[in-house]
Amino acid sequence: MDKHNSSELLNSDYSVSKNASSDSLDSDSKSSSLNSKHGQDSAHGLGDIQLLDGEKVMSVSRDVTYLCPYNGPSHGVLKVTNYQLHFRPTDATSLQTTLSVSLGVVSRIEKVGGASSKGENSYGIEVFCKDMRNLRFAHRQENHSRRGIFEKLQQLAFPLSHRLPLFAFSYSESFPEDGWNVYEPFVELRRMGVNNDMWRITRINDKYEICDSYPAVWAVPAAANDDLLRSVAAYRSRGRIPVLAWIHPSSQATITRCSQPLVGVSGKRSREDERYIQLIMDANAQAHKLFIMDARPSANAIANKAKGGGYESEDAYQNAELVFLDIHNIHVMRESLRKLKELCFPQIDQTRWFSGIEASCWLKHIKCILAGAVRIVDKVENHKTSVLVHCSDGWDRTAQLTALAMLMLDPYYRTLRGFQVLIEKEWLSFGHKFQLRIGHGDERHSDADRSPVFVQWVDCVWQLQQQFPTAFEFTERLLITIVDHLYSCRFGTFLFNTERERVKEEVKAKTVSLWSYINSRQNLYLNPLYWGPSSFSTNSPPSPYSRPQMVLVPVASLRIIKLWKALYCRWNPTMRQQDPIYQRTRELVALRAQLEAAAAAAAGDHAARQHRLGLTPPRVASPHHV
Amino acid sequence: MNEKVVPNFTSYINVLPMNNGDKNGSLPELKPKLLNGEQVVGVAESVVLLAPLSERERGRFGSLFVTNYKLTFVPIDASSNDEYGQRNQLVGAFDVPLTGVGALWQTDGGLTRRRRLVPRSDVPAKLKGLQVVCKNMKVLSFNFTNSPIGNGRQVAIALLHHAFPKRHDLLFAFEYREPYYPTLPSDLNMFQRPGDWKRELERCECPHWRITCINGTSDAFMLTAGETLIVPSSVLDYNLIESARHFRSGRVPVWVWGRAEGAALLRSGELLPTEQSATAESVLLEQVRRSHPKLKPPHVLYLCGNSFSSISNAGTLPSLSTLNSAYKKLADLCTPTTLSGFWIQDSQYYSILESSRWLRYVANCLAFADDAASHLANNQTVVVQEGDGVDYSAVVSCLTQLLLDVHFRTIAGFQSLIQKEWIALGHPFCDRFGLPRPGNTKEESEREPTAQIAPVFLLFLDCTWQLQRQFPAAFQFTETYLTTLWDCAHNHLFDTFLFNCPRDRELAVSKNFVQRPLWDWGEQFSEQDIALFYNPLFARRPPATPVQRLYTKTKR
Repeated sequence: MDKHNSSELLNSDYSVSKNASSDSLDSDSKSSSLNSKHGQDSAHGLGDIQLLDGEKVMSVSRDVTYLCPYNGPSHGVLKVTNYQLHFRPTDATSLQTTLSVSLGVVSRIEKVGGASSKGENSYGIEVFCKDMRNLRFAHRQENHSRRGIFEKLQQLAFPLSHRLPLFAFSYSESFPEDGWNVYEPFVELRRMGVNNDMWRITRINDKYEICDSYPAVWAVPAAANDDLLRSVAAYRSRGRIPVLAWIHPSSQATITRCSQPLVGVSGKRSREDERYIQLIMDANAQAHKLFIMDARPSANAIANKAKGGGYESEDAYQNAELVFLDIHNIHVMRESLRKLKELCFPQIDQTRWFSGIEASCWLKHIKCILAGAVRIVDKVENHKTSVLVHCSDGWDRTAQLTALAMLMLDPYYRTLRGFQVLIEKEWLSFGHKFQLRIGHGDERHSDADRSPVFVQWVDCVWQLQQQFPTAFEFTERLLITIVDHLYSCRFGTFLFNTERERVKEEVKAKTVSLWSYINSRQNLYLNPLYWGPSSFSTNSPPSPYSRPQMVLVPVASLRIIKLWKALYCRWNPTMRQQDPIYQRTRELVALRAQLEAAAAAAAGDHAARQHRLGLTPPRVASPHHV
Repeated sequence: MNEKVVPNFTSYINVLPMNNGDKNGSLPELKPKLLNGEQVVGVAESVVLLAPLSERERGRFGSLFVTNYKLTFVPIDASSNDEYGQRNQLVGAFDVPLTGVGALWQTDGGLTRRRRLVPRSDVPAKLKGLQVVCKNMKVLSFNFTNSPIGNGRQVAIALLHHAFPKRHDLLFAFEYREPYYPTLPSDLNMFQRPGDWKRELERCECPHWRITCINGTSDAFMLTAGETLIVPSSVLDYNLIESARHFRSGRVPVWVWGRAEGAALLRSGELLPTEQSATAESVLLEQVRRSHPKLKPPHVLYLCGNSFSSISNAGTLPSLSTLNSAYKKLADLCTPTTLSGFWIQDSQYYSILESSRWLRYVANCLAFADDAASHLANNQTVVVQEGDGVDYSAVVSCLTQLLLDVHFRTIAGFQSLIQKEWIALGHPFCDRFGLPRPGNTKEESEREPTAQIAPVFLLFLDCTWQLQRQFPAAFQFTETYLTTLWDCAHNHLFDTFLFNCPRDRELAVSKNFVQRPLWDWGEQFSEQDIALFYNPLFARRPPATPVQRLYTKTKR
């Protein structure tokens, strides 16, 4: 194995790391998607392959040309490991074409040209990626020179199709903190004050028998007994009954989530379901109404009746008001992102850039989702009314909406840790089908179940960050890192479809959590402009001029919604922010920590002096949460 | 959606807590906050200021005043929430300086139906509503249904008369009686005296150039620029006077910025189609070449295409009237008056934005600046040539300097840059903003062909904003600074953007006009609000790297 290829000396002048196409973030984030070999980076030359714990080089192909759409063809060595595809140009001056792509992002691999194809670089392979880029390699037109690497790539990029394990099960790096402990359902429910008079925690699904795509622990109305839960499950698609997502700390208005009711063409009703919904409404004393937000366009909801699904009729559900949020299904979203990719990669046509964005409809869909979440927030916050959210199965659009609404309502989820809890809870534990939607290690690239639902939600979060630059403890860098590892298969976090499958496959024991990695390098993700609840409890009197916003209500208008160029256009060097802000951000985060420590020390001194003088500290001087 | 029926205004009465059916009877008397020298010229009582884009006809009660300085609405229930964020001590949340008024519309009291009002328009006595679209894209809609009859008309006529004055000295800067004590920072260069230019030459360490004051004498040839010009050391004043005849507005190439290594940035007007103009140009460019220590010939950028080949390709900048119509499309997109209109535009926002072509012109300016900056970075002198040498050449020249010189990315530096490129070198602000020309009588103003109105300065601010997006830590000033600057460009209390050229300003000063530079931000803002101008991400780096290249691909 040619691990640590440090014999290959490199031009030390190489400093164009920001052009390295391996990663869009600055140089040290090369390690973000690749190598966090503890402090060994200096032993390597730039552009060298750096192997992770558990990573092995499986195939090497010399004499390959990478056809970079921006820097032109470059000749070099292509290596395939069980984790990544790595290309290193032979010519030290063209190191910006160094590639390091985790195999998890590979969506399909095609042979281009045949042995008799004419023209330079016409024979080779093309790798289509899930992260908005394609990679073209040209091989020599003799001796089937591409065959070996092509077959190896097929096998390693799609291990599940070849009965091989995903890389996450080989990867063994250890981190100071175990990210699997970030989310504890009981802790999170207790944070929201459950159990309380109105809501109770149930372990009825401990064996995943009521609903195999729900977690083991739920919160349900205290007045609902287990029999009722069982009958409701029978009437809800895939047993996904309405359960608590979030509860308002003061008004007790709730957000609950579920799947569609099994109404069918005959208009079936369920007394138990109706009673259960009434219990959810009764659990909130402030309102005599409940809003049911059906994420779908009404036409789709009606069409679902033919498949046995449907929606709640207002006749059957007294005091409930049904609203359709008009968000399209996973197939529409997939097609929209495909159009966007065509627009962003490889070259951008300036003359039809904006009309192209409009035609892709991607931003329109983002707007719809944001607008839906804003409606939920409005009902919960301003009208103190509980909201029940569902779509068809309640694991795609529903997760987008509840998680987004919770992010707007609760500043906790806007902290670095809270955000991890939010993803663990609303997306992972409630069974967003990551395996099916992303297709980890699966070669069926045109599978109709694939869809960028989660990425779309991350985009919505980014839109919130843009509109409220001081409201989030983390920067867009965290979001990009999450998207990178959504595909990478290096961590166990986004593997499998449901909690049940993850328990069965012992994911927590056998893989590393993405949060272990992220929390070991938190300072990379912190937002120096963050102004959260912890930083306003100091002694300044509250005024509209100087208090962080608790509830974020973004403007869901295309005038404000932007294309996230740092994500979608990041492979194009001309589209990157030229002045990488990350360095400055870290300086400011450090400075801020310094100042906060100094302030805390000064406050401590002050208190000590007061104490010596026998004075009680003034009530206003609340402790610093630094 | 707005109901098809005539809106029912009884709902307003509910807005008013103490109103008991009697119109304006129980209203307290509201007074506007007046400045020293400000006079009320029109009043309407019991006016409703409609909430922006409110289809439900919500609004606030109050009185509307027109003074010789501003349009001001005084709500009966003023609250501290009215002024969130930035607080201007001169212009309140519901105030518009008269020069900031862009267009007036007569409405039926709601937001939907409207008719444009222009000076000498016929205003009905029972004017139901008035919509004011400001130059900074703010839209204010007033309803007079509850006002005493004739009040609305009085305000509308006062506005039509005072917001579009026929004489320059009717602007409020001539009336304002408040004494002014300048407290400008010392690092702000006003470029008013020869010494100011000398400071700049020394700052840039450019020894091969000399200051000439010929333009301040009776031999002046560049009437729209200040008295001080910087030209190649080797060129004689006599040659300048001769050559000036061949350039539009006498705009021979003049130095605006340079590097210690020798390369310089010059601005000039286009050549006139005279017989010897090409010769005159090459003689001057030869002098420019000799001012370069390496004797490198300069690179000429023709911003609007070459006047001889008259090839206009996609990359060049359009005529001012084309620019202005692009801006009008953009402004339409940014000033929706009804909620339904808002959402209709919203669904096609990007294609409307694209078809306005505004951002294309922004990108073209940035591309020119990028080109100029790369030549200068390679130590080659650049001459920027355009029309009268006062519009796009100022934009591109400023942007080039922003790309190359860290000093100009600070607040003081940016203000110095504006003083140099826009004020001292005579960008015709009166003409471009649609103000009357200084010195013209009412009759002259009416007789003269209307000067070309064009938002060239806004184009520059937009380009600067784009640079801020691309280099978030490179600028000391924020987006708020730029928007405030644009707002204040339409505040006729300050003299900075009130004249066409330094000559006009000096003439006014000689008649006891008090100059009140905008850069004294303390005149309008508290320290707390001035702090909003400072970019927290700004990193003051040592000026080691003179060149920060940028590549502009997308817009926004």
